[in-house]
Amino acid sequence: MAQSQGLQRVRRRFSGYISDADVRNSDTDLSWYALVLPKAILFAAILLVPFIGAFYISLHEWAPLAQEHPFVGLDNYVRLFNDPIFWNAIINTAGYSFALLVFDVPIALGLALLLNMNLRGTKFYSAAIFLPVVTSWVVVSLIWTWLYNPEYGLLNTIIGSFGLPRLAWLQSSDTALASIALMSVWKHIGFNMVIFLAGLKGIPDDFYEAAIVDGANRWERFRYITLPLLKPTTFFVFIVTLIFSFRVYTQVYVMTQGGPVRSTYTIVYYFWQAGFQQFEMGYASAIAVVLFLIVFGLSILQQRTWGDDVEY
Amino acid sequence: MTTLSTDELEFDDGRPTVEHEGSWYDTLAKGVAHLILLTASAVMTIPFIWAFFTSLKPENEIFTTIKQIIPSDPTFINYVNVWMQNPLDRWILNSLILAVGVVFFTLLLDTLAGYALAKGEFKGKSLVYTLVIGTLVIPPQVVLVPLYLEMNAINWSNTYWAIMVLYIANPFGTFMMRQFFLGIPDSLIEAARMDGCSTFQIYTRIMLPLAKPALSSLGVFTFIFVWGAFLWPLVILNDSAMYPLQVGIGLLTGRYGSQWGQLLAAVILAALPVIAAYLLAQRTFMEGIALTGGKG
Repeated sequence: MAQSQGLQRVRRRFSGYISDADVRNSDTDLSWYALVLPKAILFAAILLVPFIGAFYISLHEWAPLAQEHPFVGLDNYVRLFNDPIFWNAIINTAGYSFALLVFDVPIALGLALLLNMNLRGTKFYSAAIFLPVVTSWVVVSLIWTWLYNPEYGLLNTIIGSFGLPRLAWLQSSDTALASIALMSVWKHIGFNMVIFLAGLKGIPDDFYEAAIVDGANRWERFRYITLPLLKPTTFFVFIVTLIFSFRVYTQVYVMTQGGPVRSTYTIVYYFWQAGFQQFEMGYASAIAVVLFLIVFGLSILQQRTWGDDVEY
Repeated sequence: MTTLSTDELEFDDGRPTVEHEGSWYDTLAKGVAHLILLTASAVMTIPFIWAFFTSLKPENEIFTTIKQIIPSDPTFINYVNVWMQNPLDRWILNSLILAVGVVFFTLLLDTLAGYALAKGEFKGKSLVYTLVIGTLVIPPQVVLVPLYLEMNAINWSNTYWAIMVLYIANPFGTFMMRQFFLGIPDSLIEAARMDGCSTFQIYTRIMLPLAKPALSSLGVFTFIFVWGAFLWPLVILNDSAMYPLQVGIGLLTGRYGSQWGQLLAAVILAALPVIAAYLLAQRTFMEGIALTGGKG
């Protein structure tokens, strides 16, 4: 309020002296450039140039210490598509993403719905469920490596006390990827839960009140109000989880180093191996470009539906 | 859609609960809900608690007392040992310098650029905005190889700057601040103009003070993000004295093998500052995620 009074006072004082156009143009373009330039230069130097560089390097045989980097055309890509390790990494990454979507998203939605019931202790519950989100991937990976310890870990101790056969978890190529996915679901659920909760809080109360007046029961209110109005949020959570999960790396590095027998090799893990262990940077860049194309495709899918936000 | 007000994440009040339904049904539903939420809370916290208790047991007792969860004779010997054998203090310092540095530059540059993109009129504005949107979809891993070569070429490897630039360049904050500043009425700016404020003075006197809630969310989120950073520091550093804490303890596994007491002591040390901060400012953390996650 104070501001608009100030504005009126200013208008009155200056009316007749300064036109609106003068006000708008009172600053030269230059001052805006000064504000935007630092960030724009960073974008260009740190993201845009290296991004184009990734395409360029992927067309070359590129050892970092070599004097020359011979142009090889699409050879790196041809090699990539004939590389069973790469396909294995793609399949592993896709499997990991699938597990995350199937378990993480629905459970997160369920927990958000429960928290939205405004029960006593909601603050405590949400704080506890969100806790793994704020701790780093390295920290939770190490804690879970301990939980998964075949002989002394908490999980096998619990399983064993029920008389069930113990699992090898990270040590077996049958279960290692699933174990990493399970840990990731645990770590990530709170994140999606909070986004769902924000979506639920965004649905106006009047909708529910009107429905109650019309005699809709709890299920009908959920089915005909909550679900449709939550659709944009759900879709968003789905795509973002997918995009994030395609970048899985840290937990693999800390928990299994890609093993046993490459059963937990993921796209980014293979990228790191090729680029910074073998120093085949042309080949690594080809992997990075393929990763970009996959994630970019998913982003377009997201942007397409970005527009049809529900109007209240 | 631009910002999330505090009320939207209010957890304990909100819509009036419906009372006209059968009360036995309501009681049952609430009981089941409590049971599920309690179980979920336990599943989320027990790994931390168990790791903490294990870290308090002497190394030679960990395996013999595995079924006795709470140590009978808690000791901090693992903490002392892991601290003495590793430059943990240096790693923590590195992490703090990196996180604080990135948060500072992110808030500064993103508010400046966001303000210019929201309220400025200048040639090339749409080009810069396209750059922001375009770089949002690039997974950071894609630029790592060229960026690594770039940093080596300018002799920046093993410097804080080399690590920080990637995170400072992140376009998300610019996008978020632009959206925030778009919501501030032009009349405010015009009034300030007539009072003789320059573009920069409007930034310091109007834009920044109004943006405080958005800044704290962006700051908190950036802090967690950088504190947890792993791949890029791992790639660009080859001097272990420069490691941030996460890289340092991430690489301990190979060395420690079965010395779980010390490993978990290091892990707890790495987790504690963030968990403590989180418990003190729970709401800001969640808003940070809802905001960045929900709109990014």
